[in-house]
Amino acid sequence: MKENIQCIGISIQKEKEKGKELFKSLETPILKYGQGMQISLKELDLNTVLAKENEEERMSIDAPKEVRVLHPSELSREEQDWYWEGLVSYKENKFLALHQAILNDARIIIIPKNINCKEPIKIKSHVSKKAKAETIIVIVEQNASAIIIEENSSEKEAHYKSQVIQVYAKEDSSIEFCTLQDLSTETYNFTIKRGRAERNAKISWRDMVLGGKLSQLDVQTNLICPQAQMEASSGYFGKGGQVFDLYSEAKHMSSSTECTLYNRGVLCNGARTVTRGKIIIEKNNSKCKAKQKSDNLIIGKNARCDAVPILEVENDDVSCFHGATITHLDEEQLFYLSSRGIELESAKAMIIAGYLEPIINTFPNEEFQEKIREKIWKRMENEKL
Amino acid sequence: MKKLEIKDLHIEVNGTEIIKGVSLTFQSGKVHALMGPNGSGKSTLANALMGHPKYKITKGHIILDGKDITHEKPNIRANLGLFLSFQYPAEITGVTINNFLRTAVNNKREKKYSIVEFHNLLKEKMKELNIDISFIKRYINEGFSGGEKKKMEILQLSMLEPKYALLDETDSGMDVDAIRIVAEGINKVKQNKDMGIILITHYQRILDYLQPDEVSILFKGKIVATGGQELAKRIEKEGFEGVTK
Repeated sequence: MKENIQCIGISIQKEKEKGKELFKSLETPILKYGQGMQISLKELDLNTVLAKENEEERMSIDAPKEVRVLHPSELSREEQDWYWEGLVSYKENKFLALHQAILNDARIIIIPKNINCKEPIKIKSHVSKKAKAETIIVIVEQNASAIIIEENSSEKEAHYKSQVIQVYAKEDSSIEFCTLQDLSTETYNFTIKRGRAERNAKISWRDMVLGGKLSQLDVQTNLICPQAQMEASSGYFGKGGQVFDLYSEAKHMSSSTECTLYNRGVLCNGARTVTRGKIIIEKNNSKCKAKQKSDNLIIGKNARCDAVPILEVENDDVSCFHGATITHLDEEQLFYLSSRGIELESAKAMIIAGYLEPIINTFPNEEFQEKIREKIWKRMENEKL
Repeated sequence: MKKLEIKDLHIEVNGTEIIKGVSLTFQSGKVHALMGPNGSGKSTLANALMGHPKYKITKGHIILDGKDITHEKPNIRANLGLFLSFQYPAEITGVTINNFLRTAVNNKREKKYSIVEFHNLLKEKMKELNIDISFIKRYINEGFSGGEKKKMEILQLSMLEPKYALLDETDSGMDVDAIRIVAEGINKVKQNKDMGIILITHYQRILDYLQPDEVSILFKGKIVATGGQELAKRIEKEGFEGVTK
């Protein structure tokens, strides 16, 4: 059923108008990360995207009954002011302004105080054509917990998909936000995920990035009180001319906070990835623990990966670790599987699929894990490995 | 009689000739021990027989039950009935023992095992080898002890039931009890399938359980002595020096 966007959002309508003004005033960003690392945007005309707004398709959210799912207009004025741009400013860059300008779907998910959701909240979003922008705001109240499982898909006619997700984790709460990005390789994708974790709250971001012509994933979390924790793990499988630009950041704004940034992916034949991880520990914040790691498997010709760790640590009384690996298929592993009668191509596929298992296993739901595996195997079909 | 023959085999690794003209015949249903000091070329021979791309056969032939497999790919050799138990088995993250073995076993069979049938068979074989069932969910050899890796090789042997098994120092890194259990497992497959065993070892101990019908000594890439069990016993007493002089 087509929802009446007018009645849900005076604010959305206004947002869009503001977005359009902003969009005109901002320059297209250059995705340049030093040392020859640049992601080309020459094939993407953002003005065309603006004219391609898809107003018809809506995401579906299936949540346990104790969870509240609202449209933005149902928030009080004060709540709107507090949450709507709490962690994201649309002035940040032209992509975000464009998001605001074509915003056509927005929801607020509230997990009430002391509620421990046994069943996951399921979000599905499919784009069949044109350009679509969605905003999801998740508020996890004190001592509440939930798992969100999100599936993003698109048809090859879908040109552009933009998503802004904000997660507010209050004291003693925990939230796992898990996304399977299975868009068409013809779709441009820009996803911003921002989190704010209070005392003893934990935000876990889990992403599997499979689709998108150019897919940018930007995950940032502020750890604002002691014992706040953040985990961001992303897996990816890219092939052909796919380009992934993956960024994760943890800002330790309080002592005794913890983060783990981990990505692990496979790049086949012409795929390109830049993964950047940034850990910020401010001067007065001691006893913080931070880890970041990037593991990459390169297959075939012209695949390229750049892994960039960034540490901005101003306090000595902290523990930090970072590391990156870039490997190729191991001849001994291939021989081992071949010596058991498994054909070389199947052996390669087994090793590649296996390479992503440490990330798949971080997803909390077995059924969802199985779905991710199927999608990976499907993407390997007909691919020269 | 069925046999695996190697005829005047020459093998190079990175341009250096390691095996310099070896001819041997391994009979079906028999145990042939291949012994020799470190660096004599035993593992090179085993890897080349299995078709490792790093080991280049420059001359000679490998004939399995009358079929020349000198230039076949490793998976074809495996499907024709050849098996190598590795001295240092590879670790493979993310590939579970269960999925790997089911793929490998079903690959050889016209009528594929169902998930349940396969699970029951695997469970039975693991019990025989005293391997905990929890291992089926573990990734191939990842985090395994030396002994566990070797047991896992023999589990694969007993699941795949090859015609000829090359066991490359299966006894190294294992305690006495593990050697006994593994040797019993090997004997069981041997009896069931009339399997030929090529046992590469430094030591007499495993030969107490897997009595060899023939013993050959490889030294500097060549066979320098062939005999029966008494030859292995002589090596135990005199060392390789006594035999290779």
